[in-house]
Amino acid sequence: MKLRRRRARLHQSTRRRATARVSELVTLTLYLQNLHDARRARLARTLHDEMGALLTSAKLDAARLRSRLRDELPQALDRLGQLMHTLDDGIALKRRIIDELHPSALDHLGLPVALETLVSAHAAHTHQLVHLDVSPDLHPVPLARAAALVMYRVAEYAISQVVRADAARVWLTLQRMPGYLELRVHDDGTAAARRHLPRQACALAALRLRVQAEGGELQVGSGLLLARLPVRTVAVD
Amino acid sequence: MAGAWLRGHTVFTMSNTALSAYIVEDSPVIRESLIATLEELAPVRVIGSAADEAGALDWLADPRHEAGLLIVDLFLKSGSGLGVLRGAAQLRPQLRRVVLSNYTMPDVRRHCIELGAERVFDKSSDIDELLSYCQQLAQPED
Repeated sequence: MKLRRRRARLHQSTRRRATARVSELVTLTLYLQNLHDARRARLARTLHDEMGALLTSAKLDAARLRSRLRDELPQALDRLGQLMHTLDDGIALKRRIIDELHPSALDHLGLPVALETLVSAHAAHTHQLVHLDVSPDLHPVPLARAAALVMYRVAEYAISQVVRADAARVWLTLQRMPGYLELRVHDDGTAAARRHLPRQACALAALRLRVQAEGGELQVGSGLLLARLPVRTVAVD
Repeated sequence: MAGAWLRGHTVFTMSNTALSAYIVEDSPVIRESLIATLEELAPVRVIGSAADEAGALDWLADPRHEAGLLIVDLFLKSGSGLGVLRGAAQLRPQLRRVVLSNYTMPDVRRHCIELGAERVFDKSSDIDELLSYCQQLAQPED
């Protein structure tokens, strides 16, 4: 009798400790993810503000120079044209790096624009057709900044999966439902291709934690991903 | 005096025909080259600038300030160029407004146009277009 009670107590305290440990790990995971995101955002900001300003300024100076060369040293115009091309390439590269680090459009222009950037970058690098459908009542999107970033990360993850699923078409739909915002991503990839997909279990688990931390839910099925985040009643920014 | 090294180059005299422009741009480096470029290559006189939304709206709200063109960057130190466009549409519906930004995706363009921007120029690829737009605005008879 005594033994059984002791065992029950032990069991209970073990469970309590395990629960506490799990919640500690969840907190730690979220903390690390946020830290990671904040660092990337900072780096992107520096690249945009400092590097971007330098390159744009160089481009403007080149435009001024070109106007002088036209009259005074036309034989140098070709070289200058080359230089301007090189600057353009530098600017394009800078944009790509920034967009991979952090969706700057998200902070300044909102989720629909950020998703459009994501989709058009994807379409430019693959043969897949992406249909983005954002319902018109979503300007501005009723999500806090952190939640909007989570939604963006979900879309990013979904698209990275689609690439591997050998799909020709992808549909991204962002719409407002009563009380929540829903992102739905589906594709026409084949079951066969999907079977060989690496599971990406960690990435998905981390994403699910983030969605849950924002009070939402994430469902992932074959060729379909659904994320729901509660809308914020008062839209600020 | 400055004309000496501008020999052979079209020098725009800043007479009445010069288009007065107000610039909203948060990077001092870009602001400096942009002003120099506009004033050198188009009949434009830059009469002032702001680095954020609040500063731009303050300027626009003062009826003593006159400008023929408002050039707005989208990413600003605080606030955004979209906010400037929104405010300018209220404060100065007659003022011609254009956007000069690194972010010129279709959705952004559409937004800007909806908010009253006449044109949207890409900072790296549309400088020539911006210059000829200014030229048109200053000398519409051309």
